[in-house]
Amino acid sequence: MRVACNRAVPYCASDLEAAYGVTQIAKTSGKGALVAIVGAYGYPNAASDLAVYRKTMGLPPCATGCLQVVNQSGRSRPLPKPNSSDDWRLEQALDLDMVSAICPNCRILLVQSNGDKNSDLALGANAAVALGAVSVANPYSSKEDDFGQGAYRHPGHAITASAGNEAGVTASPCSYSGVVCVGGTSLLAASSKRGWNERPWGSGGSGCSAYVSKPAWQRVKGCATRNEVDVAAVADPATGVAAYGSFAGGWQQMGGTSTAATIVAALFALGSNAARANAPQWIWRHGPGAAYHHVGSGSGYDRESGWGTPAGVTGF
Amino acid sequence: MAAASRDSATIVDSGSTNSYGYTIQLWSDGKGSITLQERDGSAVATPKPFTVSASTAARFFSDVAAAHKGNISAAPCMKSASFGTSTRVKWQGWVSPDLTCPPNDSLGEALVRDVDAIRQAAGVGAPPLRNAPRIEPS
Repeated sequence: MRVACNRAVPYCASDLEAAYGVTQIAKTSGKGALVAIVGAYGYPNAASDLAVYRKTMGLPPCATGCLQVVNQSGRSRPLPKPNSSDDWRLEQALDLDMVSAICPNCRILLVQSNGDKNSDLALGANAAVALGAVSVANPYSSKEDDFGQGAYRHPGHAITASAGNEAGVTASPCSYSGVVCVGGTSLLAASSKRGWNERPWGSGGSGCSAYVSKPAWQRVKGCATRNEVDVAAVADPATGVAAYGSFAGGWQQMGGTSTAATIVAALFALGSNAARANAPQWIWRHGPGAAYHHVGSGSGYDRESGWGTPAGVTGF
Repeated sequence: MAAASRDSATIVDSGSTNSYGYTIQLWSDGKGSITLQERDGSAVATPKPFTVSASTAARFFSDVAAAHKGNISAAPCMKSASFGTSTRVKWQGWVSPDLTCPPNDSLGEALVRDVDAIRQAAGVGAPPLRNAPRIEPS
């Protein structure tokens, strides 16, 4: 079965660039910027699968130096092996494809932690920053705590994380105050001026943090603690994206807030504003406003989609 | 002479945003069935029978009993936001910790290996993705 890249589900790279207003800037910006993805365990076919995605999507090939894969210590050897009882390869495939879709000129750093302990992934996030990543996508979550806040606080770098895929539940590291917490939407083509319509997904994580105090830059009421979600992007698997994993039969339609977290990380590389401020504070400084497409009811902050979805790169 | 009673255990995987969960029922004689299900537990297909070797079944039930007796635990862990699942074994009223998180001892590691072998035999070595058929963009 073949699906044309014409604004129909599953979405291609060109659809995502159009939906988030970066079709032109994606062609010219991001050169040399390093976007990191942190995941657990190995994915030996990462480079070859990514090559299939980029070629099929009409993106420039990921040539020498474009993709670097390291372990949680930031070293290229030894890399961890895949774990059949807890397989993260599809997650990493989806993330590599989403960064490529939004920022095809960016370099990509894939950090593979030895395991999925919270401490392993925190080390991976720190390694990504140490290796110079402009933005670091952490497309994972666990039951909320406040133990790891320090590992994910890196002013001058945009640290994104997934709000998780449990409706109304808060998660770590998304709720940490140094993290841009990315929620999920359903994305559909429309006849509006934008050409797209979005609404909150309904199955994404959100809420008031049980542990993290309210940052001074969060001026919205509703939570006495940190409002978890700052911004959002497509996550509904029913309006999912096309991604490629050779080990999983090839092309698949995928969703989840990891899609959203990696899209936003790539946008920070295009927008080049991560170095100017605490990245989540940058989001709140620009919302509400033209930097984001409002999603949800009313006109202000939405618990599940934050200030909305990307409208170009001003807010990133 | 009465027939020896068969022991049974259940392996429950929660599924994820992109994959179905499943319930595996395994009997001590190596016969089993697997049912794919939504995250709310509703079945998406009729149970499918499968078989594991007698030695695999014996090892699994022995390891389950040892894990129960040893009160195994697992470290807290991160889940892939879009593909992460939790997998637990239920046996005689006991429920294991989430076996997708790193076990804290060799008893837990043995149970993880057993469950992995049984999953493979049941045909869910790879996550059963929701959005088949596969597509190829053009």
